[in-house]
Amino acid sequence: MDLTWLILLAGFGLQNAVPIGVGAQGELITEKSGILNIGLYATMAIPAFVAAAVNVTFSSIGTNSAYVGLLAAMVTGAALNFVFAVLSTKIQVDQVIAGIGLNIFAVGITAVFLERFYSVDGTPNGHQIPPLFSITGLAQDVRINVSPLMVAMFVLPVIVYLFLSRTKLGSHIRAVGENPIAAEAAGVNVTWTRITATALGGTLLGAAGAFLTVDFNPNFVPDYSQAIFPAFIALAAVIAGGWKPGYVLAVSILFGVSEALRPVLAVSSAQGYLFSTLPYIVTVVVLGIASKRLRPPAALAVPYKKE
Amino acid sequence: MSEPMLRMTGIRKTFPGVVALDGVDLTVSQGEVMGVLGENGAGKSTLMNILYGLYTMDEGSIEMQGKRVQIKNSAEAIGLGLGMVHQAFTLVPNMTVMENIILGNEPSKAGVVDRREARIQVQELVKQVGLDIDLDTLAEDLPTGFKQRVEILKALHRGARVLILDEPTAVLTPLETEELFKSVRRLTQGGSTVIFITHKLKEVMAITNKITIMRRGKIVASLDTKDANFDILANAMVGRSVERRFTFGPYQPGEVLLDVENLSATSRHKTEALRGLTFNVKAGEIVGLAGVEGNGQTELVECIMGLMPSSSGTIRMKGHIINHLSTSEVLKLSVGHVPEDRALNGLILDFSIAENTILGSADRPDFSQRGVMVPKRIQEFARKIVKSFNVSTAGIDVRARNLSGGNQQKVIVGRELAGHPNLLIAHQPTRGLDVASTEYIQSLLVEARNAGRGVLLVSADFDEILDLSDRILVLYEGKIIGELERGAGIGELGKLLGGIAAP
Amino acid sequence: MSRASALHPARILRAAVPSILALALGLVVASLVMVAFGENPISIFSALFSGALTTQYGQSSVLNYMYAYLLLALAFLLPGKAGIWNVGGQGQAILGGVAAALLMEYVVLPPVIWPLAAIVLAIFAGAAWSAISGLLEAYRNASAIVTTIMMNFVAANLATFILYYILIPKANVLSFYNEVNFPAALTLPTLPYFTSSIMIFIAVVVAFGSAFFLNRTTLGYKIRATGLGSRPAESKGINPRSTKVIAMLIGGGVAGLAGAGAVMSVGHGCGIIACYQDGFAAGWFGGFGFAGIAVALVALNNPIGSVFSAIFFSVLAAGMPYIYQNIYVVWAMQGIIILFMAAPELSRMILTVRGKSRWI
Repeated sequence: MDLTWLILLAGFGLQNAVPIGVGAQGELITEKSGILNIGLYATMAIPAFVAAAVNVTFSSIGTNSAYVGLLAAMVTGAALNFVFAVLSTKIQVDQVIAGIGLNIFAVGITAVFLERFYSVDGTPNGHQIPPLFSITGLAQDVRINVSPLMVAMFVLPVIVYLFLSRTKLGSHIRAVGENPIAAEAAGVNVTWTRITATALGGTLLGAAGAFLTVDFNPNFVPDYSQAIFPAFIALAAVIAGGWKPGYVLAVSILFGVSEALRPVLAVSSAQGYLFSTLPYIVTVVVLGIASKRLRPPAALAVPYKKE
Repeated sequence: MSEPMLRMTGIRKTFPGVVALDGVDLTVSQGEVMGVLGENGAGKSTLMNILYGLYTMDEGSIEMQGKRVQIKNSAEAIGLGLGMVHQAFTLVPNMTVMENIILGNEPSKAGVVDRREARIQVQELVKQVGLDIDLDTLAEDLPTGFKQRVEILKALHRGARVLILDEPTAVLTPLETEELFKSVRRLTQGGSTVIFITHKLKEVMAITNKITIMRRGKIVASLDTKDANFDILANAMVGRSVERRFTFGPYQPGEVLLDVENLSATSRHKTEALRGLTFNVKAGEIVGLAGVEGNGQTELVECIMGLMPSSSGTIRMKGHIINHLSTSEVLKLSVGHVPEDRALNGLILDFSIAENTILGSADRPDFSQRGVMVPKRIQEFARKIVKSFNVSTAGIDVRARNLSGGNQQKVIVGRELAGHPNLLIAHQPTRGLDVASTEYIQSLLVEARNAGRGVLLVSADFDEILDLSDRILVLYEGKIIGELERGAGIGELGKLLGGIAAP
Repeated sequence: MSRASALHPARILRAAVPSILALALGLVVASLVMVAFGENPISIFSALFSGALTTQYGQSSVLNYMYAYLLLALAFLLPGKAGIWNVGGQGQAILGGVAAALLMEYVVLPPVIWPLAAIVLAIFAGAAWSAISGLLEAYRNASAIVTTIMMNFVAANLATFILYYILIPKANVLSFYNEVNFPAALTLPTLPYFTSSIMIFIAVVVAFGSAFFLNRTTLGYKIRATGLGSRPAESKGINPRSTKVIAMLIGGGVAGLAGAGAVMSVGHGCGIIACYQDGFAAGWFGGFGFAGIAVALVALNNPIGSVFSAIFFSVLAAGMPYIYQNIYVVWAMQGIIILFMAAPELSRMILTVRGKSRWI
């Protein structure tokens, strides 16, 4: 395997990894507080298309409209997750059912968006986030963009780690996810800590979604029946990374690369499908081995009722 | 100091159907170690929960240093200088000792925890109290005795001047208990006040300055420790209300049904719950296993029923070793089991009475043919139980959730007795029940005993034990520390319960 | 006595009120969204309903969707009765279908035995797939919600791989399900007048059978006991772990059956097969497995109620081709309906039961 292939693999792999990596860090924060956000697909998909819509609407101001879209996506993501968290904690709505409902809703509503903000051949209307630099010339018609968001992907785990371990809120989030009774006894407001953590997670999920629609990503082809979002791969990455930011980043990149193997190795599309199963299989295996020993936040998905 | 540190006056608290506290007064002076002694249900925990803001009192007042205070939640209690060390530890397992100590009270600048300041603060405390501990270990890696130290440090870090210790030595080794006492002495020397809740007589004599004894929601005695001795305490703790009269047939125990020899087992919390327990139950007798909760009762029953493995020793049923058997296999050996918490373990609340009566026996040929249930026979069986055991209900289709506690328990006991078991294990069978239901359930146990069954009554209700048992065994810290016969004195029982074995 | 009154129409209607309310609210919200985008909800919905219910094609579609939705609803609710969330019906059904297709390509069997063997194999395939998640949750405490979702994606990709790498080359066609005609011997008989197979009868029979199973058999009893009170059940000797696994196996098997039906129906189940063509798309939340979950939730996890709930959702699905540009709003509506079912009162009703117990 010569150097060209390696660079292509790395390039495409990293590009694929961005939405996974960014989204996974967000989901990590949420899960650390004990909320299992199955509806993360919705929190990626809806903001993604909000970003596209805002982008088109503001396209008159130039390339920065993409950043406006990104911002809009982050706000949308925070809002969506905020609502989900409030429903789950204060109103005691069932998290799993609500998550499934959100996802199905998102599937429908994003397709509606698709019609209006994407042209027929799948290229997005409006500007795209300009890449920091591009690599061309490796192969015909191939172009690897290194976007600012990719840099963000590498920086985020450090920020998340410091946030969780060094700040008051971060400590509270960790406590609430492990032993909410202890946290409550220590005077931490479990409900609001969880809501905050989930909303923060939503911000990052929204950014991850925005990456797909306002940042040029040739591998992402939205169409009506398969607007695939890396949401569940991000969920898988959180689990496979043992809820530790650094490992989650590593796993996200790994998953991104495994998706890139298909086009790069020019593997027959059939075998490519087998590669696509890897992230999910890895997650199931990790869950099988680790659930009794390694560390999901102990209170994950357990609704907290104040006595 | 002229005003006492804490004065609780006329505290009254009722829960549906039961008066938990009936006009309780408690006065504690600063720097004092006040022991609160009593059995389960005496009201000590309720009183402390009111003090700590977890419950609200119906009537009464609380004054701290002469000033009247209202305590609506634990945050307010903490603000007033009250600190509570609970029985179940409230630590976050995967955070370090230091993180746990400062949780919710972190010194911080702009949201970022000031680690250096925190460390200085905590180290100061550690020095003050002499509770040496490694601040960077994860809470989950600590031995139990150390976990308690962290809880104490946590309370102190929030400025607690009154420390409430609720059954603190329940999970400590004797050595750790000594260490705890040393810390308590240092704390009081430093000006702190300690309220020490326990049922252990030796300890209350060793560490307290004053003792208050509670029973059934009332204060029955209040004295200086120097004026107290085991007999006084025991008699006060285990008082007697009206003795119930049951008709007992002649005491002629038959064959040995249950034979437990040298049984040891580790509890879920990794403590030694049973330490070489030996006793037996014969046909035609009621053996009362008395003890304050937390001394191994739950583990014993679970080991017998196959719900938990034992680590050594044997359990025999009519001579067959049953340690390794599964629950259904044990049940097949004609053992009935009335579990400890009827709502949690005894009945499926969302099932109807009928469905509950066949729990575990749905496969029996009388109830099902080749995997298909026969509704008519099941209904007959359920109706029979409802009738024979006086269950007051609109019908057998009523969901168990909708029955009163007493009726729920009747369904459970009826179900177990309907199987005509040789041995019946009744674990806290009348807890939380009204008087009529309690008497009724107890009469069922006596009937079973008269009919030649063996009954193992595991109960923390000492009246019940004294009324019903042919033989009384006292369980203390995983061992039988004494055996009494019917008609034994309260004082003797009280001493054994408090851990004072006969000389 | 209570037995007769339990089936009284008034009681049934009262029990159905929350579900009907959720459906109605869904319709209202969807209509609002349509209005917001400048469409006319009345004309859209009337086109949908008339298309589905008045044309022969529409009616056949309803029957075709209905069996799949009903079976997949059962695949979700049966393990649900034991307290385990089977969100993997999608993947289990896909693999069931693939198993049936593989049998067809590689093994020839005498007439009646052939389709029966294909169906049995499909059921086994679905059950085996769900067993993985079931075992992991029961014995390793691994959340079934997460593992079943993951396994959906694995199944979808695996199925697509088998489709392109094995089935298509062997049959030597370009597009398997569109071009390969399963031999008549392997196709399920159709109903008169409609172009749907008898799967609908099979599905309804399975639904009623499930109700009987849950309420009148000892195994069904144990499953419900484990779901409603695993601790009391365990104290009386019912093993919660093995019971959960068995419930999962049953759920997976029913899903596999749905998959077999999709593959073996003439015209390949009319619309459901689109998921097979683009296999990896089938792993996501737009698939019929999740519609099945919606059906079950709206029916408050009741097998008989699922029959009616399935009618509603399959009418929606069958009507979609008649409102081409607006199918996705209807899809979003399903999500909204599920969201309403997540409300605490309702989800409690889904997860437990209410009123008097009727069967024993």
